Amino acid sequence: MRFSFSRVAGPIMLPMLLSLFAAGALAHGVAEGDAQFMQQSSGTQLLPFIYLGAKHMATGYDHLLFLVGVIFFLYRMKDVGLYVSLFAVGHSVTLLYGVLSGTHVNPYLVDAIIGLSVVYKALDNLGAFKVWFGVQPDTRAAVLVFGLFHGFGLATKLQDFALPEEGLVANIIAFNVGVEIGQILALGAILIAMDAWRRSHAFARQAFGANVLLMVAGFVLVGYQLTGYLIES
Amino acid sequence: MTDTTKHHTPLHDIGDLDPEGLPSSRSLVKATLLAIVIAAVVLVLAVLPAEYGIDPTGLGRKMGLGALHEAEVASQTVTAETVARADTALQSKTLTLPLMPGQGLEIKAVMKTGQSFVFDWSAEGGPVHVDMHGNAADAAEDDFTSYWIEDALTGGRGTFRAPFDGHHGWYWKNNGNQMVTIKLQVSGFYDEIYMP
Repeated sequence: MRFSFSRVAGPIMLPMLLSLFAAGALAHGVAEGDAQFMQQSSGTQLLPFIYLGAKHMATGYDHLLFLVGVIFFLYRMKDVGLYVSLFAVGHSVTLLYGVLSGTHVNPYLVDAIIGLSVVYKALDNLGAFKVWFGVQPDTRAAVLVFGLFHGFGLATKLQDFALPEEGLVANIIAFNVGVEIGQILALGAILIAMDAWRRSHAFARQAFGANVLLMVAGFVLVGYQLTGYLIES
Repeated sequence: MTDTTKHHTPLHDIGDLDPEGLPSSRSLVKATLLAIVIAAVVLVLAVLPAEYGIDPTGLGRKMGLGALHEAEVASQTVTAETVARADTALQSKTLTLPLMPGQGLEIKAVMKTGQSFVFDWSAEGGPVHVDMHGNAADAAEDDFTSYWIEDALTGGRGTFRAPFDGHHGWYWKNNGNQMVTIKLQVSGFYDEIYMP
């Protein structure tokens, strides 16, 4: 029997979904008030950092785009959970490494790569790699790599805030737990919408155009970030 | 819950939906090129004018998108003018410098762009020639920028904000025939004050 996510979680998820989008999607930066909190916080503050991680994940339009691509052909919550965890592992590794080692990567370049990953996923959904190169790249590996890049991007932004040393590692891990939770919420919400769409007969017809649109959005992100990089440097 | 087929055949890509299989290489290339062209149009017409004020077609301004960027620049400028952040502690220094007749002397502060201090100096015993100036750290000996030159002053005060990284300060010269004592007070943000 097929697990009906929408039947179970719909009443809970739908208001959450609406409030997420109403909150206004930022790119995956950190809101000003939240940044202030992070700088003034002292010691280990697990719950606030979990909340910030979840918020960060659920309100960034660039990962939401990527996640729409990822979930396009995923049905089972089990698969969704696997992808979420792979992303979180990648994200945690580079975020911890970046902040602790003080590695600074240009955020425009990281965000341009994130835009490229949206293009990648759209092409993957269209079966382009199979047609062009005869191989189907492992989507799980792609999601892990995307997580690695994304962690670097956020590490660079967090370093600008002079985070207090005390409890830093615990707070970053808490942040990553929040990233996991935020992703499950966001993916669950997207899954409901996808589910409804996939049930319609038009889906097969619209899937091609939808992935081309996803590619357009990805290319726009790439161009936007690369222009920013050229202007600022 | 009768629909069990989807559970047994997980979908991977669009080929699983379409009875005719994956789209052809030709149509995929066409779709990708189309996506690039649409993205370029969106970027040039809307995103670049609104985000960066880059508007090669002039349409961004006509559609009112340029105003978005101007508003952002204005808000950033106000912030930057209101606060100049410093990464050094507030410093304060009072110096008393005797100048013999005919003698000249220099006092400089090592500063980064945007650092600033308030200053107050006075010459007791007579007026002096003063040249308040600055030079980049690696500049040639005679390559400097003068901010305030006077031939006969008995004092000066004000605020100074370093326009570039380098050494900024005063050159005083006693052109009279009596001894003069310069008293200088500097408070603000700089790395150090020294006598070259």
